[in-house]
Amino acid sequence: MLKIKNFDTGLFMAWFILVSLGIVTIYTASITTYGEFYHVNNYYVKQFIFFMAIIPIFYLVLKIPFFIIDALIIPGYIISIILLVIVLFTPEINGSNRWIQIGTFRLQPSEIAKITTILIVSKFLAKPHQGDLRKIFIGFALVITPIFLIMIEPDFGTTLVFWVTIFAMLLAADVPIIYLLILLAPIISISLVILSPFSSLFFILLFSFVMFKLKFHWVIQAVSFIANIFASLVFWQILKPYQINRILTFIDPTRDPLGAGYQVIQSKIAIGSGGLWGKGFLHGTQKNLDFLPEHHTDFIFSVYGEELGFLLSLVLFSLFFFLLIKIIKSIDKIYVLERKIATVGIFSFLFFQMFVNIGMNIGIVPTTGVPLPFISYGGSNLVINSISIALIQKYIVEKGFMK
Amino acid sequence: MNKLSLTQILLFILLLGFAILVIALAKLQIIDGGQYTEYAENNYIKKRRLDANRGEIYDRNGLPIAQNYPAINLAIVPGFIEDKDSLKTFLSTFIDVSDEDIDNFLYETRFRQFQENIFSYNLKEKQVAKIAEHINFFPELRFVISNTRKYHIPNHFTGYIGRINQQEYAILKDQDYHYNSYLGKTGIEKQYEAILKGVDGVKLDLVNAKGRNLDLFRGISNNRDVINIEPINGMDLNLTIDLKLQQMIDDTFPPDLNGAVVVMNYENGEVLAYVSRPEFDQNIFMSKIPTTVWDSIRSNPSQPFLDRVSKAVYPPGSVFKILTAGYGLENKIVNRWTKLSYCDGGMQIGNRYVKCWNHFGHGSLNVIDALKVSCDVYFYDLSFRMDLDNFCYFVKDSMLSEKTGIDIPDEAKGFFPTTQWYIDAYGKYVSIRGQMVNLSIGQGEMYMTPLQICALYAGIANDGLWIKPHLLKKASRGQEILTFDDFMQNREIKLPFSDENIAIIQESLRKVITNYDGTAHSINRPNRNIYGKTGSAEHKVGSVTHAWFSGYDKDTKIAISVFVQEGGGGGSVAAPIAGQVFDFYYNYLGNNNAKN
Repeated sequence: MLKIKNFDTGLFMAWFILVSLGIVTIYTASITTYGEFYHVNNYYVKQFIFFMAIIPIFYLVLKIPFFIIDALIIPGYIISIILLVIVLFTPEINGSNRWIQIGTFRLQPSEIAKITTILIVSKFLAKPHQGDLRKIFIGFALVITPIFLIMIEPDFGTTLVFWVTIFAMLLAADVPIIYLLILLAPIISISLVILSPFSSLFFILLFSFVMFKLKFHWVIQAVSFIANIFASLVFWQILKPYQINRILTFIDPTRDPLGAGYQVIQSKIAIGSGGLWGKGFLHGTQKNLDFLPEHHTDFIFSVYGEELGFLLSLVLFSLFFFLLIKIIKSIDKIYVLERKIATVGIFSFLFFQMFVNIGMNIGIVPTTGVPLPFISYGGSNLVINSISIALIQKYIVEKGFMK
Repeated sequence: MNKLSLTQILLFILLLGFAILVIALAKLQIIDGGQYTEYAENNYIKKRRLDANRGEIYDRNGLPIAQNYPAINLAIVPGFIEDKDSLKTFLSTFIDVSDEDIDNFLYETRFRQFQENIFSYNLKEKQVAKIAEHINFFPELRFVISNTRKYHIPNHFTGYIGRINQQEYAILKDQDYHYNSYLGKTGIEKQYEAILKGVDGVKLDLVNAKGRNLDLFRGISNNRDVINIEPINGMDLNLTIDLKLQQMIDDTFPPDLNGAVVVMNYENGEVLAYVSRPEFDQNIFMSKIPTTVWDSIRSNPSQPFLDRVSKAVYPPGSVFKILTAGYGLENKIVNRWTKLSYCDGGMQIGNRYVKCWNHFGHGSLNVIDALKVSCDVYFYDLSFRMDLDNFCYFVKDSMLSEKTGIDIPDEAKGFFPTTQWYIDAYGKYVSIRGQMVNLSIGQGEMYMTPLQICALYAGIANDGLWIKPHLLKKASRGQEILTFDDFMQNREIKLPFSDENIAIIQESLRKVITNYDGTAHSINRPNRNIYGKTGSAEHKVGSVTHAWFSGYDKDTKIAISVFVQEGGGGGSVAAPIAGQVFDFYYNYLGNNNAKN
């Protein structure tokens, strides 16, 4: 594989080390031990199986002819939408319908939708001779369906990931930022409606006024206004109390130390008590004595921070940084606009997920239920993130032709 | 404006994002790391207190006075209360409590919702059995085993222990006390609290997120010195009290009268017996006192709680006369041969005729004979030649109206007046001379504890060297032994008497016993060296006098003070008790010496 021409070894190694580190971290997160008591969950075994499965997939992605991938984009998008609908009719797990149970494994359709949506959006955005409005409209139209379906699962964190990704991709497609703000406005309305419906209403009216002053086309003004109102109303009505709680608790984690704030507090205690050197591999007290819930998925960084400390956390950060820098660097090496936009999309969802996940672990971002790419336990997540890296690798290797 | 390229924007966002994460992580792990380490430890380490065993109290020969016994207590965890009304009904059925008591208790413990707060101490077996039948219906109730105290003899010197109260807890919680602690409330238990208590230990329990005790502390503690701290038990005390003597006096004392008897070794200040009547049983404080019992004790006119040895003051009567005589001798107003006014059953003072106790009169006497027959007229006459304020200093120097400093808390100081005091109390036209007449024979506005009188006589017996009385002989814990000298030095005070005058007073006290006309001739024993002085103090018009006897026995080196409240004449009531004590102790020591 490494003999492939133009193969970006650095990108591949960063990915490989991150996933390996992920399995090691899931290993310690799977173990509960104190005194002579010792209990192991099989999470790390499952994750290792996925890792083994990904290597051939990675190779396959590199080797498969481009026209097949191009041909798969639209069916892939449709299939992922279907899966997102199916998942709504599966039994609830932890108060939401995020997974389709297949044997002992759980398939997470929103993860699949992430990559297929990026691919289809970049495919349509890259079409030549389109106006900015048309681009925004297409991007918005393609992304609104999965966002809506994920929103009612509900999975607030993944919804945000989609918004950020579409925002970055439109930017990559040369859409001016002012237009993107129109797209961003519903997110702001939603955020505000959680705090208070009136502040949201105020924001929507203010934003409409700015658009009126900038002399936008009346259709855009109308659509934006309705979209804002609609998004706010939907969120105001469907957001579950625990989700509102999570956001309010982010502002003041101690207001509910045994409820919504519990995870944040315990995660901060775990990471903070790790200090410079950490408590030692397998020796995290917060983890071993079960003070941290979900410490193999969303809160895996707290296990890492507690047991391995600040210095090794910096090593983890460096790996992510190196990986993401490699992706940014690769953007200039890719000449096909469609692939360029897709790369930006992949970059933004990886970076956003990483930032939000670590941010919520150390208590600077609300608890949103976003996993840490490559590290958190979760097959779908690992496979999709790895396929994304493989795709970028493929873009670099096969520069293609200027269309 | 130069348009930024896409990669530049992304790079900028990336750098910004990582800068935020690194700074936030550094703050959390490095700057606040220590704080969070503490939080993490508080999460999983629960401290449990291991109570130290309180030291036990024994007499000088090792006979037990106060010992520990296991007790079953009922604790309430207020946080688990499901139905307060049914709890109240339940508790008031089996324990003598009112709803108000329970409400007060729940108010006091409002900040300790999930701790075991002991509600009722030292339950009786029957109560335990009845409560145990139903305890499953009340998750808030727990039985807690602890130590309680058992006092083998009712007495006033050991005092008693009790549960720490709100005020005490507020002061002591930073020291080694918790809200279920016992501590000494009075007496020796309070005085030697610090060494009786010991040091409580700490057991660190490892708990998981659900608060479950994982019952081990290994493996996880590899990088920390977490060890359980074993409690250090309190020191056992040996008192100077001789329990046999104490009990003998208790049996001898007239059962229907109140009073006090204190016996001490005049050479080293060890208190051998400390009897205050009536006694009360301190064991009632070891569990909840039924209201009826409490009321009956509180309303008892003879005040069983009052420690008449060191905390109650009375006019000493004629036993005080040795000080009047001593003052006269020391200030060279009289010498051993000086005879004063003729006693014809009293004497004329101005327009008033003051009586002597003996209406037949004593004639004209010198100091030795005056003390022997306790002639009041001699001392009336002496008082005309005395200065009240100087006399007050003399009395204070003799350690009367001063605290003796015995190792029992809240000792009474006693009282002796000064000129200024009379002027403040009765106005400036008060006749100091008239008051002095009364004071010279130990009556009027002077109040002393039996212990002070005993210490004074001990000082006389010890040829003028006054020794602070004390009750602690030694404290021990295994091989570690502390004697009383380790607690207190400089216990000796020279009384303001010259050796010559001490000898005169000693001779007088001897004649009180040996001469056929001495006031305590009834307790004269051949071939024994008993000294003493009787007293019958008038304290209230129309009331029976307080009977006093104070003296010492040269053979057994003990000084005694017997006080019988409203008992009558010192010679007829108090002296015989002292005589029996002298006899008992003489034989007792003789037997012990024979055995050894």
